[in-house]
Formats: sequence, structure tokens, C-alpha cells
Amino acid sequence: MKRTYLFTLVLLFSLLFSFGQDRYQFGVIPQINNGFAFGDEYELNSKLEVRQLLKDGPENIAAGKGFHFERTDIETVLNRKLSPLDGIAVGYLFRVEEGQIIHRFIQQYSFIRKKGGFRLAHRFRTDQTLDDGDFSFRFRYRFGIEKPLAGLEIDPKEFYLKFNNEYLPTYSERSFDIEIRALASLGYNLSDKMKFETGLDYRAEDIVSKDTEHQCWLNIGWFHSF
Amino acid sequence: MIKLKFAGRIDQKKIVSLGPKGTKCYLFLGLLLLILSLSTSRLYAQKKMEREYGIKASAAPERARAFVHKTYMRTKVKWYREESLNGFTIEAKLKWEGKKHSIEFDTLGKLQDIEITVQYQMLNDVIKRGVDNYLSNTFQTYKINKTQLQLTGNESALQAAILNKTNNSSMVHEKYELVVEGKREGDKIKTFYEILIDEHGKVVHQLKIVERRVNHLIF
Repeated sequence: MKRTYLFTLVLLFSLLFSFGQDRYQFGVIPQINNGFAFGDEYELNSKLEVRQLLKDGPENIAAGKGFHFERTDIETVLNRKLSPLDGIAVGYLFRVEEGQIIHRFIQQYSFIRKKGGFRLAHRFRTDQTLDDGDFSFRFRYRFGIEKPLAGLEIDPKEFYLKFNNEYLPTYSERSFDIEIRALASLGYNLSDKMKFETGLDYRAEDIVSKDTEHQCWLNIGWFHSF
Repeated sequence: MIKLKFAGRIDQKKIVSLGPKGTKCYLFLGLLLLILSLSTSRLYAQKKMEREYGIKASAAPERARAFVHKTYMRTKVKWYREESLNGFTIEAKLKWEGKKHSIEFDTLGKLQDIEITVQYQMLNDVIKRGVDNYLSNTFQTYKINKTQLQLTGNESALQAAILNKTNNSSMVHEKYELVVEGKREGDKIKTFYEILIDEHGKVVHQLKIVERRVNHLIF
């Protein structure tokens, strides 16, 4: 089992780094995330996320541009709960990226299971993106684990760890590619309604094509529930 | 004309700065939308009734440690302190003969009960019949997610029961704690319940479990 895991990891990294001079980006992603409950059944989640690009390569375009937010996302998702831990959702994302406006429509099914002190989250999402006449479709699957650092439940004023791993195959009219993301975060549960998280988010885009881009973002998140 | 571009990818050749004014404008718009959402939302409070946190073995009462040591020999134990409206308790969690055991003590180390995770199908037919009748009459749809055997009695009787030395049912009292995901008539969503069943299959009490929010896990 251990050998299989190591082999998979080596294979994955070999694939990632075997495409010559890959592109890369480093930066910061602050995020504000609010959840509003409407009775037991519905919940509206709104997210404001910006990206500050600090360094990129091989051209290092960010260096000449000074401090600016390269991307701003405003996302609203309406979740219809099937239980407190399962739900189906639809949403819309409005993105401003270097002067261009992008629209994205989101459909989602998610469920969470508890295993000992862990909570395991599965999220299946499809989205359709319109970008100045371009159209693309993605099927996304994200697996997440949450682990309290004290006890079996995350209580107020306690730290926790969160790991996410997401796969994003992207289909456009004549092309197919895949993106893989991995996030490791340290969270602090200030109260039952408010959490802070910070961690590293690694993304490998365009893995199938020979133009893979490696991204590493410092994520800083504020999560609030009403 | 439809052009091809992968979602989320940055075309570095296309990068043109909006400038500080443009960026500020969109940030302001985003914040405004959030504030508007805040002002129109309904507020729902959730009250957590229990809180537990890990403690070192040395922080557990000597009497509790002694019981665990002599009953569950050479077993790795995790200790917790639980705070509830009724006060504090100490819990030892461990695995014994492939099953999860949770041993609860008061703060002086006096044994309160032992909970053992079991398969629902392993319960005897009388209890299962009582439980199935209750659940099918109470819920439109349901699923039993967890079953725990709860043992109470004096320490020596419980120790003997765990070590399979005796089967003195008059000294050890059995109850069953179920976690059920169910939907009652009129409910809009499924809800989790903790149901305590006595040794004759009758319901002692039923509590609604309030789950912690999951926004940070799914969005």
C-alpha cells in the first residue's frame, strides 16, 4: 500500500515536471466567505476573493506592474440542504481578471461524512464559463479532510487542520486539459460562527498540454455563518 | 466567432492592468454586495451543549486510570475531558477486540458507563423489532448510522463483562444508543437524532443533534 502510494506520487511529480520550461506563479489569495441560513432548508453562500500576484515566470510580468489585484471574484451559491451535511446547490460567479469580465455558472452536490475525529467532505461540481465569447466546461471533484487539533470536535477557540485535493478536467470546443489543486490549511475556530484559515494552495494547470503552469498561493480566509 | 480558452488560465500576453482606480472600483462593488447581503439575512443561533478536549493521561483521575489499566491491559488509550451543562466528565477512548470503547468517569474517577460501538444487525431480535417499529412509525425515511451498546453497573461487574469472565446480566444494565438520520412527516430535510433504547427495545429518549456548520468545507 505504502509502495503504491509512493509510486503514484513519484509518477505524478514526474508528469508535472517533465514538460520543459513550465510557467509558474506565486501570490496571495485573501478570501471573505459568508453563509446565510434561510430556515433549515436553504443557505446562501457569498464569497469575495482577490488574487495578488507577487511573482511569475518565466517572463515575470508581475514585477513591472506593481501592487495590484490580478483577479477579483464575487461568487454566490444557493445551497438546498438535503440534510445538515448534504446539499445540492446552484451559483454564479462574477470575475474581473485584468480588465476582462468573466461569467461562470455553477452546479454542485456535496456531502460530508464523519469518521472518528475527522470530517470528510466530497464536492462534485460542474461549471460553465463565458469569457469574451470563449466557452469552457469543467467537471470538478474535491475531497477534503478536517481534523481538530484538540479533541474529537472543533470547539470554539480551537485550532484545526484542513486538507483539500481537487481535480478539474476542463473541456472546451476543441481541447481537453486538467488542473489539480492541493491545499493544506491551519484553521482557527473563533466561535461556532466564525473561522479563520491560512495555508498553501498548490495548483498545476494545463497538465495534459506541454504548457503546464505551477501556482503556489498563500490562502488567507475568513469564514462567517449567520 | 468562438475562441478557445481554458477556464481559470491566465494568458500572460493579454495582461493589461486596470490601474488602481479600476481595481478599487471592483473591490468597492464586492464589499457593497456583501454588506447588502448581511443586512438582509436572517439570523439563526446554534447552541453547543457539549465541549470536549484531549488531556494527558496524567491529568485523568488515578482511579479512572487504574480501572482502564486493569481492564484493558496493554491498550493505547486517549483521554478527554468533556464539559456539558451537567458539569465535567472524563472519558477514555480505546479499541478493544476490534471494537471502539468509550469509558466515562466523573471527575473523581468513578465509573459512569462504558459505550461500545457495535453493528446494529448484532442486536437481538426483540430489541431490533422494538427499534424498527419505533423508527418506521416516527420517520418517513431513516438510516441508522451508528449503534453503541451502553453498559452501566458497578466497576467489578463491568470489568468482568468486558473481560468475558461472567455473564451476570442482573449486575450489568444494557442500553443502546443509536445515531439515526431521519426525515419525519412535515420535515423539509433529513436530521440527525440520538435515540436511547432500553434492553426491551423501548425508547428512553430522543435528542436532535445539531451539526456544526460546514461552509468552510464545501465552498
